[in-house]
Amino acid sequence: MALIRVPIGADGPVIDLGIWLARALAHALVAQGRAVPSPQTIRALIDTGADRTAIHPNALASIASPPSGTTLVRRPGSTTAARRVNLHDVRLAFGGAVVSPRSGSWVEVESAAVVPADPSVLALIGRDMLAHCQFVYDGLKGELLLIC
Amino acid sequence: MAEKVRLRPGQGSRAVSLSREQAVYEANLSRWLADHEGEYVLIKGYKVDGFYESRDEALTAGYSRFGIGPLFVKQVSPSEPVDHIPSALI
Repeated sequence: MALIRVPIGADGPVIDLGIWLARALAHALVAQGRAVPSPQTIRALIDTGADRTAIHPNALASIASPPSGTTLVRRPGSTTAARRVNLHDVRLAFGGAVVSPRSGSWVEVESAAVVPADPSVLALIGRDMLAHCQFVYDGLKGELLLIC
Repeated sequence: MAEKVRLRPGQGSRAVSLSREQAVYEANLSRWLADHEGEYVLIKGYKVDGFYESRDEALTAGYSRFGIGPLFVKQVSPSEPVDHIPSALI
C-alpha cells in the first residue's frame, strides 16, 4: 500500500494524476501492432462531492482516448437540466504517471469528459476513484492522506 | 516517459458525438429490458453488435471488431443515474 500526502493549498487538495488508456484499448492497440500512447500527468483536484471523476476533453485527447459511452451529469443546485456528456474508459494513478510504473497502482475508471470550473486543474477526482483508497482528512496539518 | 500536459485556453479538441448510438439505445431499451437487463450492449453507429456480461468484454469485442475509435457501451437498465459534479462547468 502507498501513502500519499496531499497538501491542502489555496486551490484545495490538488495532486498530480497519471492518465492513460484503459487496459482493453491498450491491448487492442498492441494486438493491431500499433504503439500505445504514453501516459500523461495532469493536475487534478480531489473533489469528494463528485460522484464521478471528470477529465478535461483536451487531456483525454492528449492520450488519444476515444469515447466509449455517455452519461448524464449535473451540478447540484443548478436550475438547468442534466447534460449528456461522453464517457472515456481510462486508467488513473495518484501521484502522476512517472511514479506509477507498477500496474497495480493504476485504477480503471469511466470518466466524464467535462471541463473543470477551476482552470488550473484538468481533472476532478471523484468518489469512484477515491473508492479505491482510504482517505484521511488531517485538519491539524492541513493535508489529506490517501492510503491506496 | 510520461509527459506533463499543459493546455492553453482555447486549445481545443472537438468532442465526438455518440448521439446516434444513444438514440439507438433509447429506441430499443424497453424491448431489451426483458432479455438483457444488466448486460452491456455494444453499439457502433446504428449497428447493435451484441450483449456482453461485462463492460470490459464489450470494449474488447468492439475494438477487435470495429478498430480503435469511438464506441458506445452501456449497461442495459430501466433507469439512468445522474452524476453530480459540483466543480465542473456544466
